Amino acid sequence: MHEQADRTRDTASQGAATLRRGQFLKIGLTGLVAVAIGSEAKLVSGLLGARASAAPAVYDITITDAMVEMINLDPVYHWVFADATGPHLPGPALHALEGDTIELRITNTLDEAHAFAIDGTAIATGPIPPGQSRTLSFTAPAPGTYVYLDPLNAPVNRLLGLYGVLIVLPSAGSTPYTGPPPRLQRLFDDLGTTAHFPGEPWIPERTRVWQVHSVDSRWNALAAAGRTIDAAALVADYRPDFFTLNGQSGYFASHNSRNAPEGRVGQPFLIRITNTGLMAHSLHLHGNHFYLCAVGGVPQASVRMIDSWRIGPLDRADWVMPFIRPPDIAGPATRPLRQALRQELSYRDSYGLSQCPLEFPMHCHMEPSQTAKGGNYPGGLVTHWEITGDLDLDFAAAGFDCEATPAPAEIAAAAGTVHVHG
Amino acid sequence: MAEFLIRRRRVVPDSTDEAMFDKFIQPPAEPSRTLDRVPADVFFRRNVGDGIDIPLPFRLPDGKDKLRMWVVGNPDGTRTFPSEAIRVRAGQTVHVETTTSIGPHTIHWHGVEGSPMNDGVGKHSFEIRGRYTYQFTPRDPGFFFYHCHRNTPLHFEMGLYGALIVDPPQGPGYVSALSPATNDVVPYQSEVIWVCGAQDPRWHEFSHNHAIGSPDPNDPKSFTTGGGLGDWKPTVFNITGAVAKDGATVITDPRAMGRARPGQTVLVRLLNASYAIQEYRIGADALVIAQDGRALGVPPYGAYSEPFTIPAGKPFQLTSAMRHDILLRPAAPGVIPFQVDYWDWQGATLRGRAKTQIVVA
Repeated sequence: MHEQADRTRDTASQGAATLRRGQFLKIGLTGLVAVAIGSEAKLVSGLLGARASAAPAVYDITITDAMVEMINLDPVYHWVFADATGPHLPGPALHALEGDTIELRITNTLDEAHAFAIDGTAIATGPIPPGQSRTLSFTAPAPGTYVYLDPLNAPVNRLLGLYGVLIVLPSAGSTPYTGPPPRLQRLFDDLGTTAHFPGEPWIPERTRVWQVHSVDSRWNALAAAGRTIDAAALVADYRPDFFTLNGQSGYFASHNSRNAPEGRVGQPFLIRITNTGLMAHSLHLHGNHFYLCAVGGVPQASVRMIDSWRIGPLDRADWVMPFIRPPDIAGPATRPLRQALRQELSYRDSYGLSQCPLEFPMHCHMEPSQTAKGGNYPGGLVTHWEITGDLDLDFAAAGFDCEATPAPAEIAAAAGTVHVHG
Repeated sequence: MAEFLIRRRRVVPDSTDEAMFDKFIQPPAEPSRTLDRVPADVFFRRNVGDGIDIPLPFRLPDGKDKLRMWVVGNPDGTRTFPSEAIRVRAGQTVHVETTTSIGPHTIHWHGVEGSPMNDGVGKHSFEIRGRYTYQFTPRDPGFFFYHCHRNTPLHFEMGLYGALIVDPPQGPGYVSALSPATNDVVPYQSEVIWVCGAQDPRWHEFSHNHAIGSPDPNDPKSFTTGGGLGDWKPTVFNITGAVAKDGATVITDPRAMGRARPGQTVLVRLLNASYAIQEYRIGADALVIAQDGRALGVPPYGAYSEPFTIPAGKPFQLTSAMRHDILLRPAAPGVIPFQVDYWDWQGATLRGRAKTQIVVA
């Protein structure tokens, strides 16, 4: 089983309370898990803020099913990818280096044919009958962010949970791309080296993946009942009641350090975004404009600095969040935040919560996506990011009392795994 | 039944985690004063949540020919839809003293990046129940907007938004655009603001706090159900508050229809203020000089991009909150047609259409 970046301890066995105990052989948690496939696993260790591990020479992926608790604890039937550590929603985030030879073995344990493919490439298993396996060998494609999915009965099988990302890194260079267009190269060259980007260059460890998705649980219930879902009927009557980011919604998607970038001013992040749902989202970042670096896997020749961007079904985008000092803070633009916002960083609200670190949301502006079951705002497609200090000093080191984010070791201890044997 | 259960984590009762969950859903009230206050160069007063009825050029299924909206009013009594534009100059420190009709509300200054307590997002700061003065110093000239960020699906759709224009230091009549010979500031003679909205009248019966609830994170029964805010099917379509009679009639309301003389430079400020995928057609070559309040090509931050031209009549799309600043340069008398198609957010269904124009004479 994998862990997720929760802030608190809990007991995993509570999860079975809403369902009949004994029906589940294993219990998992939603969230992002990273796996290095290919030759250079050590390069991607630590990426995503997730626990990364090196996969064996042949990485086994199983297509299975799972009940998944949504934000309101509704258990919703899904089809999911699993590996030796258990089921994952989304599937494990696969990492490789350009040119790596990758070998996957996909096993279909369900009652109908499924398949595995990397969208936008020719890499695909073709249909795998129930109970059978297929081995897929391929060379890692050009550096970038890819969606892998079950392409059968599109869009049904991916909507029911069979989606994940493949991230391919370049074997050389200072950007996430091989031979990027000149202005994109210059952006990465300028980060941390120019007057307008003081601080540090981008480093691969400062990466987050945001997989946005939609769920219309009526169709999942039909699948749970063993019914074959007609793709055209679903598309004609699709009314999602849950919206997720890396499989989570609302508070649980937001206050999760695997989703939420955090750093001091001058520590830029790369965000890799995919949409495996069926709706067009309009992702809006507060606090900083972002650079739109790649669209649909294509590194951009004109790299726009914007605050909202459309991510339609099966769209992909890479952003750079520059982590500049939020430019419009009242008063002189050159004052360190610890001075300009001394009172704000010291403020505690009626919940006793500190305004340190500085938190800004990222959310979809197609606002019906901010709901769960038609309400519970903000219970949908949302996360946030945090500024934890000035260029030269963490706020905590400057004497401010900040809400702590647990270290990875704490997260691992808090998440845990429970096997419930029937 | 499936073999596996994938859990949502639980929140520990009476923990910091639970306080953070509660703040996320029910943000605290505003502080007693603006923290880290600095002197203002310009000052505005706004009241969030004033109700007005806007006339419709047709009847709704229930027979009504007007629609209830909520707007950000000016305490001098001005109540318009969209809410009255706020216009400042780059580098000015802005104070906006904000009250509410029926609290809580916020104002988020979309694209303006102040501190979290002046960003107007309750879950990361507070919501206003009484009175609070937002402050920020916008550095970049451009086209922004403001809107309430409380129960946002509903409050934004109900009309709690307006334009926020940051002019360059030269003031209105000048816009930031790539032009090294003129220090990246370009004059224009006619300004047209196309804030394209859409409404689902079913939502206009809801109350401010509709379907929010105050859930216990570990109790499935405590979450709301059936609120309907995930299901938006607009039937009323407007350009800058002027409601389209139908998809064929050209709106001539001066809020939407522009005017220019041959040879003038027209600046169009275009915003998708709805939850539709908006597809536009402009009957003239459109030079996009800025997106989301950042001038394309202008150093230092814009130097990695360049302006681009959308050929006359070629459709292009924006989703919610996306903005273009566009220059048009009509040479001869005539009309420049403008059409907005409102596609539902699945992209499958055309919900409506609105048309207006720029008269060049």
